[in-house]
Amino acid sequence: MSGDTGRTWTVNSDLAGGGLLVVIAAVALVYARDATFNVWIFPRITAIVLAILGTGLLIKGWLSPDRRKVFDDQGANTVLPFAVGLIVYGVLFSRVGFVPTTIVTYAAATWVLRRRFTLRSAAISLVIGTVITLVLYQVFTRVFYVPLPEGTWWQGG
Amino acid sequence: MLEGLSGMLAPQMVLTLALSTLGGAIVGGVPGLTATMAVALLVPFTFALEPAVGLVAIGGTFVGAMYGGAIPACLINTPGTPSALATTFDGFPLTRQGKGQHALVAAGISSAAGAFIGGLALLLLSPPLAEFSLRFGPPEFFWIGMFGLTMIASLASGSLWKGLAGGALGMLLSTIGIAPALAHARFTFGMPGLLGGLSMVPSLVGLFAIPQALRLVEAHRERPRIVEYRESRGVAAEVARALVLHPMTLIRSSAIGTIVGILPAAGSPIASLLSYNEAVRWSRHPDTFGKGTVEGVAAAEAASNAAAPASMIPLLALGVPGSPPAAVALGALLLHGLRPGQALYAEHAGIVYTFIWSMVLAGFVIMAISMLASRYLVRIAAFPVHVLAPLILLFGVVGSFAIRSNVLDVGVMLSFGLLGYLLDKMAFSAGPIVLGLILGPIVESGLVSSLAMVGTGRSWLDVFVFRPISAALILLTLLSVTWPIISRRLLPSAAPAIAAAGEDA
Amino acid sequence: MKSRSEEYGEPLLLIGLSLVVALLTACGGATESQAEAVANYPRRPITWIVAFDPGGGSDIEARRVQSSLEDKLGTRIQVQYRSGGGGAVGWSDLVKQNGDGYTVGGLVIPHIIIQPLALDDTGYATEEITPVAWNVSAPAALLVVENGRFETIEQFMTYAREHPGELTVGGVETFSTSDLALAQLIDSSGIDVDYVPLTGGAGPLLNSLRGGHVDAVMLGTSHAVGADGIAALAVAGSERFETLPDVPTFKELGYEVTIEYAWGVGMPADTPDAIATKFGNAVIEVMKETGVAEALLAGGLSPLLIGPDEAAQYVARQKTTYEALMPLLDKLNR
Repeated sequence: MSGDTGRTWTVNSDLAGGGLLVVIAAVALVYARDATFNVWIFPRITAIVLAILGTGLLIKGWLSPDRRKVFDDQGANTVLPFAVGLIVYGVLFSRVGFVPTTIVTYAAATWVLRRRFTLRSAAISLVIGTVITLVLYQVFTRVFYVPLPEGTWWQGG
Repeated sequence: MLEGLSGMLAPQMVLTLALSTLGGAIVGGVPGLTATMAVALLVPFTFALEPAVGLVAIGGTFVGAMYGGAIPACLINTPGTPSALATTFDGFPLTRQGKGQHALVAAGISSAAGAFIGGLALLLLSPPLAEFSLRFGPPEFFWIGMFGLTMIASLASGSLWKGLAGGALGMLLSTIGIAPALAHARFTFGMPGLLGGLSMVPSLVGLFAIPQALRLVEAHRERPRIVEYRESRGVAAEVARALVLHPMTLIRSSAIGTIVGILPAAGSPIASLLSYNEAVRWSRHPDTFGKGTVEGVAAAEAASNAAAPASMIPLLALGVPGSPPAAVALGALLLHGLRPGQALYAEHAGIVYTFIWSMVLAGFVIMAISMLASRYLVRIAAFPVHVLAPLILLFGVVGSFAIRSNVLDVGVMLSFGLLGYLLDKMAFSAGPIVLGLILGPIVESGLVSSLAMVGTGRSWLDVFVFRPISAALILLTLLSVTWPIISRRLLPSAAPAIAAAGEDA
Repeated sequence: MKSRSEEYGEPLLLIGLSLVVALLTACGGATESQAEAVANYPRRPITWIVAFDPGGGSDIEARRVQSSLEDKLGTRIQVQYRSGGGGAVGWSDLVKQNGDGYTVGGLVIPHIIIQPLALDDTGYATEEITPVAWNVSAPAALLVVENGRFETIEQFMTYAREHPGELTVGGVETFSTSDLALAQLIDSSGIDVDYVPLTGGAGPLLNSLRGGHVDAVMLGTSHAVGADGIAALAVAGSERFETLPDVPTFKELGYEVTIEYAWGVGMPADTPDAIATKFGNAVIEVMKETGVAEALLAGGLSPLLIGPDEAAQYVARQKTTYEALMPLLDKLNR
């Protein structure tokens, strides 16, 4: 493939990281806003410490920015669909059931990563995905008694 | 004692030990499946078997899994069990340099050494060590937690500030669920599945396996494999020489593992992190750590494997399991009507000692597996990404679900995965977060119980400071915090290297 | 912006998904009428949810009856572990299952009653579970170090009266048998002792006792029998415990302490009575088999033979007791 990886996306890591952490700390403090008893002392203190550290990062990010390359187009093109696929899988996993979602996701992942976008490659990926999924399913449900989700949509649950 | 040894050497037992250790190694070698899970899977069988056989199976599986976790840790930068986290620090860089086999052999040798030494402690030092573990009350656990937090500094690669923030984040997240000892649910957002808090496996898989898989995916056009396979010869001898000629690493790491293992709250993950930390601290060339040195792998693995038999010490001496697999062993004993304690040693010495010997000897099985399999296992690192990445992700999902049969755990795992990936991009290392997650509950429950101990005639100082072990721990904590400053004065070369150690590849 | 590769990915994904979904939907099962279901119960394996980790008390109780129950019912029983939240995760899962008798859950008292009382949102309500049998129990017991400061309960109580606020009694977290029983003791005797909640379960608690970090511990008889260096000062209930014949009951000394641990089995609330009864009776029958009672007593537990017809009333009685103790518990735990 060509050496050109497309546009590069950079981010000020301190700013972004610090911002994210401050947000998380704020959410925690807001959630615990009304609570008055001992139980909330520890999380509150931790959240406050987190907020302070996050703010420190924000300040540092503003004073001496730490720019880091986060993505390039080429990388982003592969990772982002993957990440989205993972999220979709996670959501559908219990609703549609382990077996169908895993077969499809696994096969799709293998096929995309093989980068041979032929029907034959897709078929191979589908076979691999089906075999692995079914084997795992049998092993975990029959041998280990782990109840892999059957899919709540089918059961009306 | 010797009766137990001869009992252990019976063919049936040897076979049980060999198979269970191998099984444990395989399960531990899959990211997402843990030692606890491996032992739990045995439960239906162990409860039905004779006590001695069942116990040997549990012990072998436990020790095997501790070793097994090192395999993916070294080869694909994904700990197979939480205890192998510290093994990734040096194991993966070695693989990247084409020295994967070195890493695996080092893991094998040090795991065997750790298991052996921990087993010896179990055999010979149970009573005094059990006695020692009784001195640890809530205040001591609180201070252990605090001491543990000082390790954040060394796990944070690069920015200390980011490391501390990561630790704080981990501690905040650890408060999700029912508060320890206080019967109040926190941050569950109406989802009962979160009442149990964030479980270790989904968190670890999410923070390490997922970002690693995504990293592989992102770069797969340029790097279709982690590393090309390169045949090496004489690896075992080379590694053995390196480790045996400088035995301090193995001895110190095993000792740390043993001590940490006898305490119920802490466990193998903490043992290996602490051991790695100390290995860096006391090494003559600390800057080699984090870049691929077998010493680093050895420090982590010896400790985590020593902690396994050590966790059986309080079980057999006091009836108090020091780890989840030990809890399963307790269940197996109780179900057969055997109560651990003096009585068990007196009336069923055969069973007890057979079990103990099995843990001492498990190390040999690990050596064997490691010597035979390392050169084949190392080829895994050369597998193409389109094989590795989907497998890592799949086992991560299944493993996260399987641990508590809780769908929400998969959600937790994925959330951590995306969070971990983002944070990784912003140069936050995941180690401090995990440390915060593990230590948060220890610190808080120690704090809560200790506060309840304060009362009439027992002042704050009485409870928190005027106790021998607490005082020692406070001192250790202070030393640990000020060490970078001290060492800068005493050993000018060491300081910057300590910060660099623990850097993820 | 999308390269050709991405273009192929999505439609194939959709086709694949629909194909597989269609394939799997094709597997359906024949349905049977309600009456048939009841009469044929059980015709599939039954799932037994253990709301705690493997190796714990609930696990042991499940295994204790498992094989005999499998023989009696003629079907396999598969134990699944769904731990978390002190049992709350597993029980909230239980109440979501179909009430067809093929999912049961191991229950523990006081947990299933006190958790919904103490916590805002446990994910289940006590009434959503139909208990079908209570088969094992153990009364609460005040434990101290053997040959230590206190050798009799009278000594303990006297010291407590003369030195208010000085003694510490450890227990398993809060809102558990430990503080419930202690609350009853305090209520009926007026002593002033500090309650120290400890985490990690009974094991670390006993270690804290042995290590001298607390003066006494309120647990159960199962922890006293056969435990090295631990002695029971008194037990709850109206009769002495069979395997601890020298230990008086609190009642003998005039203190009203009735709290006990109990283990049982339950099903989701909408399970048909006939099925629930069948399972519950089977459990009770297993308890009557030879050797079961002896094994229990040797471990400091005692057989309880409360079957499906009385199981719910048992729960209701305990609930009334606990509700009355809630204000005192809050005070104790502040």
